[in-house]
Order: sequence, then C-alpha cells, then structure tokens
Amino acid sequence: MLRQKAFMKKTKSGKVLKVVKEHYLRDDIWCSVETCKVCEHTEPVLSAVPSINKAFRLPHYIIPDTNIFINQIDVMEHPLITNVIVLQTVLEEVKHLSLPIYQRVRDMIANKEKRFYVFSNEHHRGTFIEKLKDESPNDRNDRAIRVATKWYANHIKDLNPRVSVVMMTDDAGNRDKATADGLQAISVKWYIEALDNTEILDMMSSAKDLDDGQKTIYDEHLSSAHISNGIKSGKYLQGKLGISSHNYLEGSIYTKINGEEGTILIVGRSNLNRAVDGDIIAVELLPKSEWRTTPTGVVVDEEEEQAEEESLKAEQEAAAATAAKEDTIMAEPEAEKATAAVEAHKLDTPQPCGKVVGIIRRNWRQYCGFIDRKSVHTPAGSSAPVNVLFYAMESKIPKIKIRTRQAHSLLGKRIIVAIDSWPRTSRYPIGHFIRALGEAGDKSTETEVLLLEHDVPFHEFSKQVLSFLPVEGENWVVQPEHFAGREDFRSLNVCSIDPPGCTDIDDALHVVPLANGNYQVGVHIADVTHFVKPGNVMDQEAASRGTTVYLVDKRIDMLPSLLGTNLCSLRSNVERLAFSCIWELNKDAEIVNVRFTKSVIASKASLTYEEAQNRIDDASMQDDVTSGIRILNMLAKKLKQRRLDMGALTLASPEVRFSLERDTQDPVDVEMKELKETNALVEEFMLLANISVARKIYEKFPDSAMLRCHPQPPSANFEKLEKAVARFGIEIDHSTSKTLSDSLDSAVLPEEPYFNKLLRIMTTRCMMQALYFCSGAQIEQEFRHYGLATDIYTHFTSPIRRYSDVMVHRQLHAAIDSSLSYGDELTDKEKMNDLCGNLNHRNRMAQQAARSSVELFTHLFFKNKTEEEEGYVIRILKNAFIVLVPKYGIEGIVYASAKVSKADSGESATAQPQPILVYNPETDCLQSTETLAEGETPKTQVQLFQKVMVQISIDDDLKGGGEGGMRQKLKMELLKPWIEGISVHGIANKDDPEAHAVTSTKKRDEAPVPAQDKKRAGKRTKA
Amino acid sequence: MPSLISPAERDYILKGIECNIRADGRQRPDYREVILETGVISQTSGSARVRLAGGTDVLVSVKADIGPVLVDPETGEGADKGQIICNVECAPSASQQFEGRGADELNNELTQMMTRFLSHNTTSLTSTPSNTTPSSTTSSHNSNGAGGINLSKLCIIPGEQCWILYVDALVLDYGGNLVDAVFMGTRAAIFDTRIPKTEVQDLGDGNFDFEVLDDAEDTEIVEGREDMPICVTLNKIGARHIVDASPLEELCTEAKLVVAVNRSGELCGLQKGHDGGIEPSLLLEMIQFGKTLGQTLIKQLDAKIKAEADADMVKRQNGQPVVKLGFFAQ
Repeated sequence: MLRQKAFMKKTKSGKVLKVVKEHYLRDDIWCSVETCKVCEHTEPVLSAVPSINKAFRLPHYIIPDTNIFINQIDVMEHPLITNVIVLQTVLEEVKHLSLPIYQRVRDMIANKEKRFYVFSNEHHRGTFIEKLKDESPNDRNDRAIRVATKWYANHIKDLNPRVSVVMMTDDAGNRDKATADGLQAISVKWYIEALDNTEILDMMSSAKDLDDGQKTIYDEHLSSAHISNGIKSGKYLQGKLGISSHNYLEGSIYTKINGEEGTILIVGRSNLNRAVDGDIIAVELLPKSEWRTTPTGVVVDEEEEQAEEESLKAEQEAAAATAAKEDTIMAEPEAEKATAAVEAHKLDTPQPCGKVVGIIRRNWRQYCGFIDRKSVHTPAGSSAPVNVLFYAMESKIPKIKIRTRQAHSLLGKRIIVAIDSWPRTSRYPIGHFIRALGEAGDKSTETEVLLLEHDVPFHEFSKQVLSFLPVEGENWVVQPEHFAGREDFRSLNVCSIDPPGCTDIDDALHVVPLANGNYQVGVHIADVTHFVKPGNVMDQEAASRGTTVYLVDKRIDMLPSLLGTNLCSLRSNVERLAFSCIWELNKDAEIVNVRFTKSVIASKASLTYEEAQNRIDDASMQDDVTSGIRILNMLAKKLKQRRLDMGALTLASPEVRFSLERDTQDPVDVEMKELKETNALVEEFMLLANISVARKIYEKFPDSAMLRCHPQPPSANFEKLEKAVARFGIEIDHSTSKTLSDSLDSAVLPEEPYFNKLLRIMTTRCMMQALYFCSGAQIEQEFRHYGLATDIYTHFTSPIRRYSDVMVHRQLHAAIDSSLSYGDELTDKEKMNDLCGNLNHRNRMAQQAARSSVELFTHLFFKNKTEEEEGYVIRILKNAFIVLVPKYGIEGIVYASAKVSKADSGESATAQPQPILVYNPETDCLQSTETLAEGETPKTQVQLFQKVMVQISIDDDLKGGGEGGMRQKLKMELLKPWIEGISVHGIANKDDPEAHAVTSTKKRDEAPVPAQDKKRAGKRTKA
Repeated sequence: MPSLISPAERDYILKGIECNIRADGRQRPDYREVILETGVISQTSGSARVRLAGGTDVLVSVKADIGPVLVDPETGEGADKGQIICNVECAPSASQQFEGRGADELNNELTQMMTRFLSHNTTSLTSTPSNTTPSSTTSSHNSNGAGGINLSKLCIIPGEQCWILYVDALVLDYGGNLVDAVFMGTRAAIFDTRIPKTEVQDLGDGNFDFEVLDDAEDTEIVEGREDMPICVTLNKIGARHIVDASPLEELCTEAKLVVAVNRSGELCGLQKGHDGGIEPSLLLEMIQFGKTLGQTLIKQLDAKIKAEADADMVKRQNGQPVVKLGFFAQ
C-alpha cells in the first residue's frame, strides 16, 4: 500500500522546498515476541517473560514515548530496564531532537542483553495512521504511539504465559487518553519508584522538581535567529568559551574583534549567563568603561557557598519536617563575592570584556566529581531524596545541583553526573546522578576519573578490532612473499636504543661507512601500515584513539598490544618489517642524498640509553654495533650543533618520574629522568627523518600532506616575562627562535644557578602548541616549526603510538611507489583536516591526562607527608601567587589574603579574607599595603622569580569537608619570607629535609624542544 | 492537428454553424465536457489537470517560492507585494505543429495573456481594456486589480521578501480552445494552492528574518482566488460565433475574441485574434455573451472544485488517505 508524506523545508539559501516522500505500508512486520506463533520472526528480541514491576499484574513490555528517551536516557540505559519496544515514530523523533541521544538509543538496541526491539509502526499496515486535519504533528505522533500500543495489546493478549504492554510517558494527557482506550500507561517516576531501587531513582532527571526559583537570576538567552543575525552584522561575537582554571567565574573567547584576533574576557556569573566551559557562545562586547585588566584573581568563594549551603540546608530540613513536597526558600544574600574578588584594577591597556547573550551549542558532557559534604544535612542513613551540590573534578565546571536518595553512601565517592538543564531561575545547573566510580583517593578510581575527564577511550579493543590482527597471532613471522617490494637489510648492523623496559620499539638505526668517506645512515621505523590497512575497524579505532596515552602506572594503547609490543616492535634478533629512511651523510653530517624504502630488518641489539652510553664509553668494546653507535654519536653532535645554530630552542619543563612499588604500584620515590648523550643521539636522527619525510610527502601531496607546525608565539605572551627579567638586566628577544635561543643562553645569574632553567621553563609556557595540519589548509610560510627552527616538519617515527605517523607512512609509501593504489583518505583535504583536528585534540588530552596522572601520584606521594622545600614564584595573580618547587616539579597556589581560621569560618559567613598583599600592576608584583613615599620600595613584596621557602602538604578537606579528601589539593604555605598573616610556622620536621635521601631529586637538565615534540622525553615511561 | 483545411471541409463547418449544428453535434454556445481534477502533483503547492472531451489536456501547477520583492524604480510601488509569474508551454507531443520551435509563438502568446490577466501590474495592463470595465460594477474586491489575487498578502517582509507564485501550464494534448482550458486549470490550481505559513522575527536593527512552518497542514490559501478571471474564447465563423472551438473550427475562424471575466461579471480583459474583423454590434454581442457564459462557467467550476475539496477534507478528518486518480484517470 502506498501513501504519501509531505513537509515543507526552508533551505539555507532561503528557498522553500516541499518534500514529498512515498511511504509503503507492509504486512510482514513482526512483533518479535518470543512466544508469538503468528508472526514469522526468526530471532525474537523480546523475551517470553519480560519485565516485572509491582505496579502491574502481568509481566510487560515497555513502550516509551519520545520524551522518555530525551529526558531519561540514563534511566533507560540502566540494566534493570529491558524488554522495551522502541517505536519507529519515537526513534525518528529522537533522531530529530538529539543525535547523541539517538546514538545511545541505537547502542542499546544493538545490545542484545537490553532486549530493545524497534517496531516499524509507521510502515505497518495495522499501526500506520494518517495525520488528521488540524492535528499537530506531536498529537499525531502521540496517537501513533497509542495505536501501536493498542495493536500490541491486542496482538499478544492470548499468549501463554500471559504478558501485557505498558506505555510509558510523562505526558498526563496522553496517559489519560491511553487509559480511555483501555491501555496501561505509567509515568517514569511511578514506574521507577515501584522498582524499589535507589540507584535508578537517582538517575532520573528531575529538572522540573529541582528548579525551585521564583526569582530569575539570569538574563534570557536570545533566539538563535537573533544570534545568527547579530553575528552576521558584527554586533555579537562568536567563540568557544574557555573558563579560567583558577576561577570558574571568569572565561574568555578567542575571536576576531573588528577584524583583529583577540581575546574577550567574560567575568562574573551574570555575564557568563549559564555558559559552561567549551560551549560555543555569542558574546556582546561591554562598553569600554567596563573593560578590565588582567591579572586573574583566584576565586575565594566560601561566603557564596555558605549562602547556597544555608538554602540547601533549609530545604532539606523543611523536607524532613514536612516530608511533603518541599517548598524551598532560596535565600539569596548578596553572594557575588567571587566577582567582587576579581574586581578590576585599571591598567593602561584594558582588555575587552563581554557578556554572553546566547548559547549556540552546548558542550555538556558527563562530569566526574563528588558530592559536597557540606550540602548534605540529612541524618546519616536517611534515604529521603535530597538536593545536594556536586563538584566536578574539573574546576572550570560550576557546581551542579542534583537530587539523590543515596547522598550518604555517595559521600567520599567519585561519581558521574550529567547536566539536564540550567533554567534562568537556578544559580547552578541542574543534573542527575549517573553512576558511582568508587572511593575517592583510590588509585584505580582516580585513574579512571582522569581518563574519563580527558576523554581518553580506554575500553578494551573490541572483537571486531582484534579480528583484523594477523591470524597467525604471536607466531607470525616474515615470509618470503613479504620481500616483494622490500629491501633486505637483514645483514646490516641495526640496533635500537630506548629507555629501559620499553616494549614498543618503533625505531632502530644503522650506519655504514662508505668508500668515499661518507656514511650511509639508516633510520628504520616499524612498518605498522603493513598490518593496519586503511579504513578497517582497527584503523578506525586507532584513528579515533589518535595516540597511546602514557600514565604513570599504565599505558592506554592505540593499537592492540600484539602489534604494538610484538609484531611491529623492532625487537632484537627477530626479523621485522620496517619502513626505512636511508641517507648518505658526509663527514659534517650534511645530507648528500636521501631515499626511502620498505624493508626487512633484523635488529642486532636493543639497548637502553645507559647500555648504549656504556658501550660508547667503554674503549674495550670494538664490535660493529658499538663502533656504529660511536659514529652515529659523532654525527648526531654535529647535527645538533647545526640545529642549535639555526635557532632551535632548548626549553625545559619540570618533569619527574616516580618509581613505584612493585606490587601496590604506590609511588615510593620521585626520581630524575636520566638523560644521556645517547638520548640526543636517537633524537637527532628522528628529527632528521621527520624533516626528510615531511619534504617528500609535501612534494607528492601538496594539498593533503599531514604535517606538523609550531606557530611563532605572539609577543603578548612574553610581555610579563620580559618585564620580570628586566629587573635582572636581562632582555629577551623573541623575534625569531634564534634570537630567543641566544637570549636564553646568555640569561645566566651566577648567584642563582637555577635561574636559567627556571627561565626556560617559563619560556616554554609562553609557547604555542604544536599542531598537526593538512598542508592544503595553510600557506607555506605557516608550515614553520618555531621550536625546531625548521621550515617543514612531520611525525614519521612512532607509528605504534601515534596515528599521525600511520598516515604519514601511508603518504610516504604512496610517494615512493607510483604503482600503489590508494583511496581518497590520503588526498581528501577535508578529511585530512578533520583527522588533524581529532589528532590535535587527542594529543592535547593525552598530555593533560599524563600530567594529571603525575599530579595524582604526587598527591599519593605527599599523603601523610609534610615537606619544606625551596621554590620560585612563577606567576602573580591578583590575590595569590604560584610557586614552582623544582625538586618535585610541582606547582601550588599561595594565597595573599589572610586565612580566616577554621574556627571562625565555621560559624559566621561574614568574615572576609583581608588582603595582606595587593597587586601592583606597574611592577607586576604583590606588595604590602602600607602607603609608600616616592621611590621607596614596599616593605614586603612578592615578585616573579623570587625564591621562597614553602611547606607542602596535602589539603584533605579543602572543599569536600572532612575525611575522604574529595578534591585533593596540594597545599603550599609560605615559610620564607615571613609575611605576617600569610606565612606559617614550619612544622618541626623530624627528618632534616636536607638529609632526606629519598627525596633528593635531580631534574632532567634540558629538554631540547617543546614537550610534545620531544620524542624521548615524555614517552616510554615504563608501563 | 491538421494545419490545412480543404474548401469542402470549411464549407461543411461553416454551413453547419450557420444551422446551429456543429460537427460533433454541439450547438454554437455549447462547451464540450470538461474533466477536472485538482491536487494531481503532490510536489507542487497546488495543481490541476483540465481536459476537454476529445482532445485538449492541460496540466497546471502552482509553486510557491520565496524571492525578493520587485520594486518599480519609478513609482516605488511593489515593495509590499508578492508576484505571480506565469508560463505556458505546449508539449511537442501535443501536436505536430509544436515540434521543434513550432510552439514558441503560441507559448509566448499564452504566457503573456496569462501574465496580463492574472497579475494586476497596471503597466502591463495598459494595452488591455481594463478601463473598459463598467464603472458601475467597480466594487471593493476590485481593489486587487484585474487579476483578483491579493498580492499584498503574498508579501512576507515588506521591501525584502515575498512569495512568488510560479504558475506553469503544460499543454499535454491539443484539441482546440487552449486558452479557456488553461485558465480553467489555473483557477482550479490556484484554488488547490496552499502556501506555508511564515513567522517573521524581528532581529533588531531593522533586520527581519522569517521561519517557514514545516507543517504541511498549517497553510494559507491564496487570497482573492475567487476573483480570478477565466477566459471564454469566441470564434467568429461566418456571421456567427461559437465557443470552445475544435481544431478544425479554429482553422475556419475569421476572428477570435478572448473575453476574460470574473465571477461578478466584470470584464478583466479582452483580446482579439486572427485577421478578420468584427462589426461593432457583433463585438458588443460577443462580449456580452462571453460575460454571461463566463459567469456560469465560473459558478459550475467553483462548485466542482469545492465538492472535490470537501470530499478530500472528509477523508482527511477520518484519517483516510486521499487518493487522486492523477494520470491513471481515463
């Protein structure tokens, strides 16, 4: 039977289309109930005895409406909810309303255990309905759901054992109509309550119940048409909101203001107007008089919280007392302390400020965090639903109000929460509980948290992915047919040099002196693309993971470990496939020629840096491998010198390595990352290979080569640093990387040996991020890699742990083998651009995850310890300063306001921190408040690079209140210089800190390039 | 369609008309049976197919699209008006004469006639005797002009955007009396037309934008459609005149007069064709005759269109599918 469906559509170009679709009705759509004998389904989805709920007499199948999926997707995902009939009407509406939710519904349908069956009611003769005249589409769909429910009810009424269907909807009108039709209908709330499961009750989104406000707090957002028009006309500016990590009430967007790229600050709750970090927002500039200047202040938000807590407490007490529907009083004392704390100082160049007028796209995701202990006021063991506040681990996210019945059992745990909405009347966004991860402070819980928070996919590889591994498994060996198109390098003295314990060896080297006095040098890279074919599931998985993530105690692989640590890994004394880059270098390490080839190698030795170094140093070793390493070392030194002469930067970052106890994996020691000449040796040749390969693939794919650039940092990044070092009579010239490198080299203070290192660390922070890009998307001048001082660069040498290198391998292969056929994944500029975007994101996330992991272990290390250490001021904030302790590579905030003692603050919310030091914008330092005569220096001041003594401990109850240590934070308190009100008296340390052998740590003395390009630096921390 | 006629045939037809009996048995003022169906093309905003028994077959579609308003640079008029753009095309398969470029002239003539009779742009009406409209019959609905359709209602954002109704008539088969069939079809198609509702949003700064409501139900009719004229073509053969001429009769025609008339009997247009002359007394008689016939025709046509629309509505209210015969109709 043929029907027609028509609807109107306005296209982007402003045309109006009438779309008419042919719609065929069928009589062969089955009910998929296991016991049904009438239908001819082969694999029934719905089980014979479905869900049981005490609200209904019979076991039943659930037919939810669209809003159930949209609003309560987390409930639907709960394992208790099975045997659901998803109507086609509902599925299409869900798809139309929210693609992410549609995807989740699809996943549930694919999950056999959930027993979700899609019933194509729109194509079923018995359940298709025509839209009535004057019936709204929504009413029509509701009717379609009822008709389908009715069809099911009739269809299954005679089955044995007896079953029924239940329509689930939160629309009371629809429920009434269904009941009138003789159908069973129920709301989610009643259904869930009859299940008697607190966990699933908490997962229910109850945005309406939580929205207590009579009072509107925020301005209304503009309509999307308004916004897009305003952006077109230049009245509003669009950008992605980035919230300051020190102050969740201050954010900024980077956008074009009047044609010039710039940052717009958005300060304060009302200006932010419910935007959350990562949202794409529309901003209106504030008048110039309201522009403010940096620096950023740190939120001191205790008063404000107090107010919120009071109101929550009142709520909960009222709830407990009346046990009825609570009538909440939102006490709103002036609570804008946080914004007051960052009140503007007038500097000479005020920064543009703006306010959010609308949100173009939300970036809400699920957040890991914990419940604020102070927001729970009910007696322990109570299971009445209470409204509590949730702190996300990410400090950029505002507190989220959730309703839970298990507040007490969730205290001290890490939980996941989703935001449902943020109405104008609610100070905080409203969300619901999703699941608990585990005890806070527990290593595995915290590791899971940090992986989730950084969006690192860490699930096991699926069967599908693994099915693309070679069938031989571990017994795979190089076969004669593999030699086709490959050179046989098995006789060469190839060796690999890696950190100890490294299992994924993706590079190896060899050198052969030539008759003409030159050297043939080869870099051999694991031939991952031999195993990972473009487009298959394994390739897609790797592309989506983007990179291997190295945490302190574990490694999240990009490729299944059979490939990464075995078949691709260039282990010694086994034949392996490789992609080789062969140069002829003259005595001065200049390239005479270069070629690339696929090859088969057999590494003669896999050495650690130390072993390699020992071989170089040990004059008695005269074997081929050792003498090869000596030659390579000689060439590497020349290469490095030339690179430095070109202006390559030698930067630094404070990185440490933990040694872990074997069984518990607890950190027992912080140790230096050893750096030997051989580190530099390998690195030089890798850089050389990357550059050579970059040139080759750019030649072959001028529009779509995957390259890596490092943009020159804008001079604004250096302003503060320049000002600070001017004090020492040092100038920083950052006009080119060469001048910067020279000024860094000459910036030495004899009395302060650490100064140069510190300066390099701070310079690193002025740098831009290096990025992957597609050569067709940028002009050639922007290809430049600032840090390495080369005009073109790419990543070729680590295909086991980076997907970019996999792509580069494919491009290089296509470039050297003209007979090779390849798909558009290598040539499509758009696809390449998208891929680069994903890789950059994954890369950044992986770095942050690694950093968070170090932070986690630092916290574990300092647990129950209090150390006194020397540190340096590296950043001045409005009401605080940040201290770097080089020994542990850690940073902490020292507040420049008087601490209100705990005893006081517990009672009164009125106590305000007295600023002891105030920010002086002219000198960019914090100074004491006494009035100064002309030319007089203040009594005490804190400025950049200043050396201080701090006491480090773990602040357990900073926010969570009490035991459990919610958002653990490294606490730093000032010991020296003594500033009344800020400094503390050091706890008498039983051990003399100097004699503390465990903690004596050396830093890696140098890191030649920005962290992400250092092949040897961050990588290969032992798994 | 034969392009030539033998003297014997001509004589036969001429004499027959003189005796008030035509080759197919009709009398002089008789129309052939008209077969009409609306809503035959679902992709359009409105459509109709008109057939005259024994030949002429015309398909008319109306498509509502959005475009900029057309402002007269001299008078500044038109900023708040929509537009109607007409086009008539004769399919080459309709007649041997239409093959190649054979139909170009006819297409142009019909297109221009439709544009003049439907669109009330006065500049294009100067050549038509709109001023011959008897002043006594001037009434309020005549404010929409000769074309009847209220163009102001088609404007979405004054000075910026409006609806443009593209009226396309396709002649599928030729059996004489094309003009009348095209206008009947157009009237039926306009009656069938539903224009999506629009919601204008004020974006501030004097900027406006609008949304089209995507519900195919939530639509508006073309206002003033009742006042659209239809045409009655009178062919002078010998001393007499006939209506709804067959192809052979058209070949005998000495002079042709197209009378456009609306439901209140107002004369909306006149066009004379062919070489022969018409005496003033006969001319007046013909106009009067055309006017009366036109009014009756409109009445019957409207009744049919309404009956069909009502039948469709009843089906829709009961949730039954509306099935059109369309091109399966015999």
